[in-house]
Amino acid sequence: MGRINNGGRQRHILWVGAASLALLAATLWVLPAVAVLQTPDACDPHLKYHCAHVDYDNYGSYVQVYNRWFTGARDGGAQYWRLDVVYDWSAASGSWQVVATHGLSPWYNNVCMGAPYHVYYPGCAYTPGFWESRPNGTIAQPAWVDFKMRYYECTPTCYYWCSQWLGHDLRANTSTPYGAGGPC
Amino acid sequence: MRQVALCGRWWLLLLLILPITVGLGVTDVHSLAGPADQVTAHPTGIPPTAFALTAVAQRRDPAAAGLDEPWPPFTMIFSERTTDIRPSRGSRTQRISVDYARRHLWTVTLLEDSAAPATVGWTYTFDGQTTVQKRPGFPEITTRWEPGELTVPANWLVPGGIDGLIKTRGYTSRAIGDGLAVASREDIAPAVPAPTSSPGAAGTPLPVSRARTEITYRQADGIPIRLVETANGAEVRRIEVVDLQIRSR
Repeated sequence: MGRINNGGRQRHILWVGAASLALLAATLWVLPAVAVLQTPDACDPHLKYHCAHVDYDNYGSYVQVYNRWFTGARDGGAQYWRLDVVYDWSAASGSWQVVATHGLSPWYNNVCMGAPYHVYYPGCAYTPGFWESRPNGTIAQPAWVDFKMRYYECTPTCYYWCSQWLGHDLRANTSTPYGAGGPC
Repeated sequence: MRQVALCGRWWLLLLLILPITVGLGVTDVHSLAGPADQVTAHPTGIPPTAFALTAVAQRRDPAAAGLDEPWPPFTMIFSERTTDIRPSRGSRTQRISVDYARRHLWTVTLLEDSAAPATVGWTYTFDGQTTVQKRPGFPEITTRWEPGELTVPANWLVPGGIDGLIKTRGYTSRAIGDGLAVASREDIAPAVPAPTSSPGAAGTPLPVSRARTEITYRQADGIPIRLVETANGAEVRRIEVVDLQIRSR
């Protein structure tokens, strides 16, 4: 009986040890691996006024978004720029629906983009590494995040124009600017 | 006598009110001329009063009824080719139609997009109060505007027209024949130290130190028909109007 009991204890210790190792591996390797998902930067295609990307985890049935990052600049003509809106899209109900919006950053008037996207224009201060984030959030799959930037110009008359949408597919981990640039 | 005295007081009131009314009218005209100045005087943001004053001014000014429109009504189809300045990225072509009645009434339709074919058919309609985006398969998105605010059908169709660009943005113009002229501008950036992160890495763009814009336009009505932008001598954006129908005002 004593031998049997000792064998059971040894097996128990082995199981506990294996479980502990598995938990440690999950902590050190698996969890950090899913936490670093980031969509590629979607950018203005030519002179690089602005870019955006999303930090998120993909849990299969839903997506946890940690940050929606954007950066921008103004050229020699624009007075101000800002993040106009961020839309979180879900098609969990069978059609695309906006599940959350995070918009309207302050107006910026002297920010140029940092590396690796460079816009050197007269009257535009160089601010390397400028990025700003929008709040966290959980959205259902399939998930998509859209950004749009707005510019304000006052020569020769005052008007707004908007960037193309900077779209981020969180299932495919891709990004692309799309839609027509100009209208807000 | 009591009635006469009352009438006399009304005349006094009229005498007081008349200068105030005239003064308000003059204030509004000045507001029309200078909302930009009011805005630039507030570097931390755009005061909403600037737009409110503009709206009041536009109600009073006949120019708001269309006399100051940069172009006659038109229907245009243009193609836009953009090339990413990063060597690893390619180019993209869009074809877009613009049905333009006036600054505050137009519709834009996306006819072709080499990078996002599924977005073909997307329309943006601006009626002066709202912009409505209709994307196939998606719910509409509506943006509401305060009176006097303005958005544009494309960022190269600047509401002030070519004259405005020449007067306020440092463009110079030269005629090229056949009723066409070219307005151009070149920006040469000051020397800026290169960023230290990943210098020379694959996909890292060159800093734009020389940016040039050329706009070809019809001298008769100022409608632009071509735009070419270069960065450091390489073409990054080309817009060509492929169809243009002018309508009567």
